[in-house]
Amino acid sequence: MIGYLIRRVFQAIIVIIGVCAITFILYHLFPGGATSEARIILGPRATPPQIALFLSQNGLNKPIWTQFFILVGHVFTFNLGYSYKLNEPVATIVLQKLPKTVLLLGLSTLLTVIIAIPLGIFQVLRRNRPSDYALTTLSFIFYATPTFFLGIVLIQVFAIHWHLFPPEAPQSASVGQILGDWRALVLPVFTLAAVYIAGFSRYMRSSMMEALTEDYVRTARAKGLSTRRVNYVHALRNALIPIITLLGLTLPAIVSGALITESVFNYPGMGLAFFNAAINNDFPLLIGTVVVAAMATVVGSLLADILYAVLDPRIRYV
Amino acid sequence: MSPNPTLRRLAALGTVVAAAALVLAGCGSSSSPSTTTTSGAAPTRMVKVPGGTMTIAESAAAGPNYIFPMMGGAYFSVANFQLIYLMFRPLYWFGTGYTPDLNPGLSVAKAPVYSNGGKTVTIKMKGYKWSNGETVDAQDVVFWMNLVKADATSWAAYVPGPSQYPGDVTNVVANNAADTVSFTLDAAYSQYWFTYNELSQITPLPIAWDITSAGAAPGSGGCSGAAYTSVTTSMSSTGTFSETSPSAKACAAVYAFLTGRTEAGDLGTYATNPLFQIVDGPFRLSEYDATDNGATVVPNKDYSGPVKASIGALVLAPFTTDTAEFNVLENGKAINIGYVPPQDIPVYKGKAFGPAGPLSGSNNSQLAGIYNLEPAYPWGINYFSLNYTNPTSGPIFKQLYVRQAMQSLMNQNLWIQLFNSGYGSPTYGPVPVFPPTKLATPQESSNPYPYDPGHAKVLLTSHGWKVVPSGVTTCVKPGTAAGECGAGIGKGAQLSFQYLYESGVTAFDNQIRELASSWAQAGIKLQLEPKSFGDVISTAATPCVAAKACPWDIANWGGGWIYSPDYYPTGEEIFASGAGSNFGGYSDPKADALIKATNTSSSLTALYDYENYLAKDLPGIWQPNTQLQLEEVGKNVCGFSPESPLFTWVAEDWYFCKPAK
Amino acid sequence: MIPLTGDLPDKEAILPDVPGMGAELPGVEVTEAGEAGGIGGLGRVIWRVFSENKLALVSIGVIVFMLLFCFVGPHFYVTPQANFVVTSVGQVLAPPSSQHLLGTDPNGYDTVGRLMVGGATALEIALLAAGIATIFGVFFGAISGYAGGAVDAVMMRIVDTVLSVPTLFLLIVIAAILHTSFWLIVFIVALAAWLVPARLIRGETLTLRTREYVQAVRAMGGGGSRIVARHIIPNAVGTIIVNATFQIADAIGLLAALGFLGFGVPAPGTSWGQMLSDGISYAQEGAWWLIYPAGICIILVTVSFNYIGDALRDAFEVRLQRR
Repeated sequence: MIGYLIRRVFQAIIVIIGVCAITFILYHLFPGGATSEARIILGPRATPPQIALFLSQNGLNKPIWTQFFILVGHVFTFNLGYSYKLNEPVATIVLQKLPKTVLLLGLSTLLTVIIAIPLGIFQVLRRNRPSDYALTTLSFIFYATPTFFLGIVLIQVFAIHWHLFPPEAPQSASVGQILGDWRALVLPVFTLAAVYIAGFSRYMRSSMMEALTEDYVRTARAKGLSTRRVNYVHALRNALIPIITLLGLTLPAIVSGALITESVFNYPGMGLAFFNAAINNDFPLLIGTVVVAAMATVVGSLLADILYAVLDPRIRYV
Repeated sequence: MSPNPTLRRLAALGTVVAAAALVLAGCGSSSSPSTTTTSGAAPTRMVKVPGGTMTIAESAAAGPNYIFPMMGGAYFSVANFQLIYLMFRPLYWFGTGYTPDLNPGLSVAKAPVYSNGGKTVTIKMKGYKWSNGETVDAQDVVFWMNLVKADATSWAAYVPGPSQYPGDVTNVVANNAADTVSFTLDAAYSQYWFTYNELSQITPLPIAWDITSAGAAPGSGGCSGAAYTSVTTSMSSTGTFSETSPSAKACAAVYAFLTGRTEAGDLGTYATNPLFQIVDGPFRLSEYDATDNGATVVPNKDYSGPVKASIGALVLAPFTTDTAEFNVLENGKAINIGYVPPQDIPVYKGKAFGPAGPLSGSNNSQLAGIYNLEPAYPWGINYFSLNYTNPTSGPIFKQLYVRQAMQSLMNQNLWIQLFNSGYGSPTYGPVPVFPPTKLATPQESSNPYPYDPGHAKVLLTSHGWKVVPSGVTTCVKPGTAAGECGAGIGKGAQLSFQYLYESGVTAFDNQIRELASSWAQAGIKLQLEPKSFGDVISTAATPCVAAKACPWDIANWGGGWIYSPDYYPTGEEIFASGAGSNFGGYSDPKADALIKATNTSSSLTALYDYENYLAKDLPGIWQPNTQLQLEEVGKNVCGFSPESPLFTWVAEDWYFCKPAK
Repeated sequence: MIPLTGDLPDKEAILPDVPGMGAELPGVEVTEAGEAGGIGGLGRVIWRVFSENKLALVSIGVIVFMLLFCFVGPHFYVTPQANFVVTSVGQVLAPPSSQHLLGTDPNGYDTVGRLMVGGATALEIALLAAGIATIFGVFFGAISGYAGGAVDAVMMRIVDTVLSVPTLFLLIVIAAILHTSFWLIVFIVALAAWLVPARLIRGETLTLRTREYVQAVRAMGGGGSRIVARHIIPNAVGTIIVNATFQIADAIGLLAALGFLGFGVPAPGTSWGQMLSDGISYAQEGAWWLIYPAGICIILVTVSFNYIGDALRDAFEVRLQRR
């Protein structure tokens, strides 16, 4: 296990360097190079001396390899620098936005799990019957509806027409206050969850179906255990294992997974920070958010693997 | 001056500059009781309700994020001007009613007096007070000038060159006894131009800011007291700027401290930093949220100006998108002053302007009960650039008849009606036609090239092109004689161009589709290519060099040019040969001479000559100015109108009101 | 579909990267002959299970209808407005009438005509992107899994790395570097999608590699490329097809999100997602015909592909038949 972990950490480091390299290369492929980048930041009235100052202040006039090694060094020392546009250290911005997005995604994932697991089981037990068709169709419709459309429809119906919920997410910066304003969380959390539910329930359905065909389930049935007991105890327990690991794999979504929900519900989190950085060519912030996304991906899949090993005794990592 | 991005749906305030379209409100200097403007309703007399917290929507994803008045390029945005000018007043305030005129009442100095053949400018300060008791005096002006001179390249509005600001100012001397400051210029300039475009950029700074560490004695930085001539700098051949004198180094140190990571570089402390509580404007910052750039300002009790704020606080509420803002607006009363996208209000078919200001039709039915619709027209023009430096398409664009054909295929009024609900103003030349001022000539205002597809075809056919409607028009008679295509255009050359435009704005997308369709009538084929605002600008700003693939033919960043904060609409930054923002490299000796005259001659005739020539010579293709802001002003908000076209806020005039009994 | 990298991986995609995990995959029952010879008999079984799912059958009908509507429709429903070079400014935002069955948009295009054009674009992009992603991903995964060792490690780190860069970032930067075009969007959607089949097939390959018949082919001197092409890929065909179906559905969703963010196909082209996101801007004018038809088309097609995928998955999960 220790050897395995060491290997995984090593792999993670390689992946993060790779991510830096991709981001760096793409950024430098930009037509017009660093001068164009400077102009996007400084505005069209930027004159050559202003551009020269910007390039030297940000080390963009150094040789390309030097720039890359400086970047990798900064990333691994968590020195993410200052945003070109937002007048703040990248680390501060990430620390401000990350909890907001984690909260939104956490709540919607929770809602997803609460709805999707029973739904998935139901879909197996009532496979190809009208009630399965109806529920599956509903979950697919939510899945198929573009997020921006769903969000806007929900706002029109529940906020503008019926005045049941506010049209925007809580506007506070602190997690405690955001949670306190629970009514404002309802629509964004549901919008985000609606998309996940179909995915999770489909997964649950498939994994439950598989579990029901396993030998031990058939054995349990043969031993005369009630169908209900077999379904809910033996098969369910095993079917849940992959679901738990799936949760680990939703981690990368903290960067851009909630982008559209954030923008529709006026909730500036990681997604919008990332999007604006990309649109505005704010390289330090961009690399900061991309690295956070990469770390989340790496940590998420590591967690998924470990959980899998812990929960399923048949798996051994060597 | 600055180009500005169009209203956008998502986040992306394309970096740069005066995003005028995104701005919410204009300003007004009148505090007389306002009347509702809803058509049909009889004007209601309103009475003032003092105090209260007023909330104004910030433009989408473009909240203020800078507090120091000498902004670098990355922070040179309308949102920052709005917040900063609430607290730190510029030497001269522009915006009187709905015109961009100098407003003597709101300025901290009396009108400039030109002498010595226009080479000396003397300015008498009004003696306003900073909130720490200091006087807003001549020395504060010198402080600004010294800082700008020593750190020119850090400042967004710096234009290199001898006859540009600040290089054209050879000396600035404060006469403390008389409280006047006199500027010595290197040549005689147009008084209009110097006042509107150069003096307009000065913001006096308190001596308490002349420090290099927190809590140091005011003036200890050694910049405000230095003689302007002792601040010297040099520019190396590689464009590296450096301070060469001790005074210059002192000023650079002060600038570095003020903008460093403990002061203007620390958003989290904006509302608590004692330095930034020293204000001479009608408000001071009381809350600032670094997370989303939301801000709250409260009245400055020591403001010396004519009108003191009567509201209790002004909240600048941040929004991620226009849609999010609209939802909140529609939902009820969370914001007092907001804005709507054009497609969300009924189409208006009336005149844009009356003698009292912009006119409007009926409001969105959901909003009409709570808000009045008040359009605000920006002080700008709109056009898109042709790439004269492109080896293939450049020679075609250099032919005036081609540009005339293109312009004749632009149905500006139709666009305004169709895609902007009737709110917008056509552009016919380099001087804005709306709002009406004495600067626009009748010749320009009459539209030299009205919409006429037939004429466009004739122009092309008569110059040796085979016009193929809905296809591609090709040159069949190359040559430079009359009736031939023109220099540099070979046989078989095609009127087929790559057209970069700003993506993601519904109304603008629709305009561009219409444009492509309209130009196809004369066989001018466009390959449309949406890009982000920043990408369009940076591509267009890079001139093409021979031997390298040229990445663009036509670029449309959607917002044209806003004349702010240099308000005199001369073309030295956009249409002069080699100018920094002359995208596409338009170059015409006569235009250059006329531009020079507008900068040096104090007669308005120079401006008229310039605009009449450029209106006809088409440096770019004029398109409608649809960057106006459609404000939704709460029915209980008075004093907001008239709005200036410069988008700065005179929030001390705003107050809550209710109908008189 | 959480479109932008938040995509929930399909089940198989998330299985940990450990040898042996492929055994957990619902795959095709491998016939002993190995050379995928049993597909014929298997085909009937698959069809039987598939056709048990009535909604999947309806879905096939829906997809066929949509394909006909988008690709054949323009030949029968010809309006000047469907020809998207010329807009008709005389009739903008017109409500449905006998002349324009679903009204017109702000440029005066006929909505039905636009739905055909936009649908053709959306379906072409989705099918091409899913196809390219699947083919590339399958070969990438099969080679990685078959080669094993250092090659596998390097190839999988490439997958991890690309997976770790947000798709949207790739999109924005690539769109800035290159000219926005139909093919660029296909490329970007495929770039986001190939990772899933790659991981999937690698897992499958790892399992198959240890099977007796592969060992036997190897012992008889069969080359690596032959083993991959003739044995491993045919035996993973179920997994590939199921995944490709979901890829198409997800591509349509991603395309809609891109349209909303302003990165759609260049005008005058359009896609359903762009029509929807543009149409929403006109909701205040009561222009329901700009919103619902495009929205319904997206939902119908995406739901249909999902049903088909689900039914296929059940069908390929032959072990279920042992109940």
